[in-house]
Amino acid sequence: MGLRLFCFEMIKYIFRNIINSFLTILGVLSVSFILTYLLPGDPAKLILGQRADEESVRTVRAELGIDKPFYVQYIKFISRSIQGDLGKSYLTNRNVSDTILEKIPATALLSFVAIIISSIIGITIGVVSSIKPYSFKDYFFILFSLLGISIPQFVLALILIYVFGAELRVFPISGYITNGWVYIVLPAIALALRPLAITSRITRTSMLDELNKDYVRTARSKGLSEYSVIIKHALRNALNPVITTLSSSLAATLGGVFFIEYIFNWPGIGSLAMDSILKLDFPMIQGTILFSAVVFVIINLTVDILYAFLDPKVKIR
Amino acid sequence: MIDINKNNLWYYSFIRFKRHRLAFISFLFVSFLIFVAVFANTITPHNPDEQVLEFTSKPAFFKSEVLRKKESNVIIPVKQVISIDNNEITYTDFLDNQKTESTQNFEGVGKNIVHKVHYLLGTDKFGRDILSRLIYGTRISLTVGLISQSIAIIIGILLGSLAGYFRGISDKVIMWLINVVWSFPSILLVISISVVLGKGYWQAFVAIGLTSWVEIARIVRGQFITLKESEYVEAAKSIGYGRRIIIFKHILPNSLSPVIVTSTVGLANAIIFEASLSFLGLGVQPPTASWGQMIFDGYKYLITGTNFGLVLYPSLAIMLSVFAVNLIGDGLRDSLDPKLKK
Repeated sequence: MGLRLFCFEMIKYIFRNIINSFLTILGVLSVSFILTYLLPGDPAKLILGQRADEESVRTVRAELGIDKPFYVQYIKFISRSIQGDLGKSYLTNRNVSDTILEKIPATALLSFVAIIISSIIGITIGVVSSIKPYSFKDYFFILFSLLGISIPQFVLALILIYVFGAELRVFPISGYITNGWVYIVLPAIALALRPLAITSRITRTSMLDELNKDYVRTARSKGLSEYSVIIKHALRNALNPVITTLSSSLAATLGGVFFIEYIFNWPGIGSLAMDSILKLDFPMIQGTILFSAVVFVIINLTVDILYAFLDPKVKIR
Repeated sequence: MIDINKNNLWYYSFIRFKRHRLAFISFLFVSFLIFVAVFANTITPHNPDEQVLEFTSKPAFFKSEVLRKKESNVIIPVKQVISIDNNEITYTDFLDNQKTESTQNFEGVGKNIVHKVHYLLGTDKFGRDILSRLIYGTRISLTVGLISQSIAIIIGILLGSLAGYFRGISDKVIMWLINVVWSFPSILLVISISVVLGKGYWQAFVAIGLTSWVEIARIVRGQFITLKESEYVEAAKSIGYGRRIIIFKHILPNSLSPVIVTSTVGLANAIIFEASLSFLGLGVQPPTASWGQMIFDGYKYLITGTNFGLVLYPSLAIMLSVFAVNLIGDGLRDSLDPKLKK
């Protein structure tokens, strides 16, 4: 393939992916608009209280634009959202987008730490399992990772709180790192377990696939050390699906870690979302949902494009 | 009819599944859970909603004696029976008041009017039996799982096969819809849909079903795209079979095994979703017992360390059942794969 053709194909691929992501985001906006539109209760009355008089309710409704027909509201909502204006919170009257921006660092920190933990431990477990499949160690790790997938996050969080917070009293159970770095330990463990379990499962399957291939046999027959066969040859080729899973875990957690942030009182997007759901602060609910969906789409887009650069075969799919 | 001859995929799968020991044990465990859910009325030792204020927050294996009023069925806990004959009973209640009443007012005859009660797992803060509530919670979790997955399977197969068989514009639209739903954080989508529909039992089913069809649709679509090009479908076409027969008799049955595996995992996730919804107070409404709600009720007592059983038992129930369902999914994945024959 000529270089010019390659560049052309690449640009076409990137362009198509960007258009697709944009359409997805448009769909996400529409779904969240429809959900909010269908929500029971009058927002004006939520702001003013149930006993507000007709006149002021009408003024607030006009201010919010919710007296207009459905399609006018819809178009307005889409154009405002694309400009980054997500409205104001009913409770604090602050800009939703400003509030969300403030919460990003906490969520990002937590999810990066958790994903790093789960990738290191998960890949190690997967490799160890795949070296001796169907051994005692392998079965133990299989059960461990299935258990990791089976525990609901909030249950795990409560178990950690009970064991390490209430009984052993070694880690603090509620608060942010402004009080000290130990505050990240429990939420990070709680968040890491599920992606860790998934990573180890996928690494194991992918490694078993690779270890059965001819090039591994060749490498062994050349007399390479077992370490170099497993780590340098097999693992390098087995990592592709692992990275895909890890990046989608990251994409999901960066948009907000709902139960864990809420239970550990971690001031990120997740606890903001939970709080606004429990207090029925609709613009904030909409804002946080939009934020996490958009983050998910953008990260997946980035990963797709990076893949195309690293592995030109991908485009053909 | 499933023909059990030795070339049948289902027969082979069953043999292989039985060999998968953990999956088979899990299957037995889930059968037990289904039994418990179906016969919840008869096997619960107590009424799950019955509150006995004298028995609040008792530990496991708590025992006591009670009298049952004849008509109203009110329970009167008895601390100590002082004397009892055919007509009258004298006892002290939990406030240490001594009372004498006619035995006619209570259920039972003679000395049998004093009933022994046994709370195997203790009671919650309203004096309700934890074991009975757990048993009724099984019902909620399993029905939520089954119904929401049925919704998901119906939508998923319908849209997935449409997209995979006809391709073109319908494929583009359906793929777009799949991507949109996929992008939402599923727990937030479930929460928002259940807020729109209102709190409750059915709303939780629908909300979970409406978010978990995506994975099934993707798989069905993929299967249809591959199978449509396969030789046996070509053959069916060339004999002149119609579209409907090809879709329903030839392609769909052959794409079912990954759907079964995915919906088993989906069932496990639905149990988690339901528990999470109830934990936030958005699922099944009190006083109906559900595992998530029991955890929420006990959560406040966890840090003070007073009664960890309130959280422990429902958590264990959720974990064990989700674990078992996931193990079954694993076993099915191995046994339904026709490439692994023997």
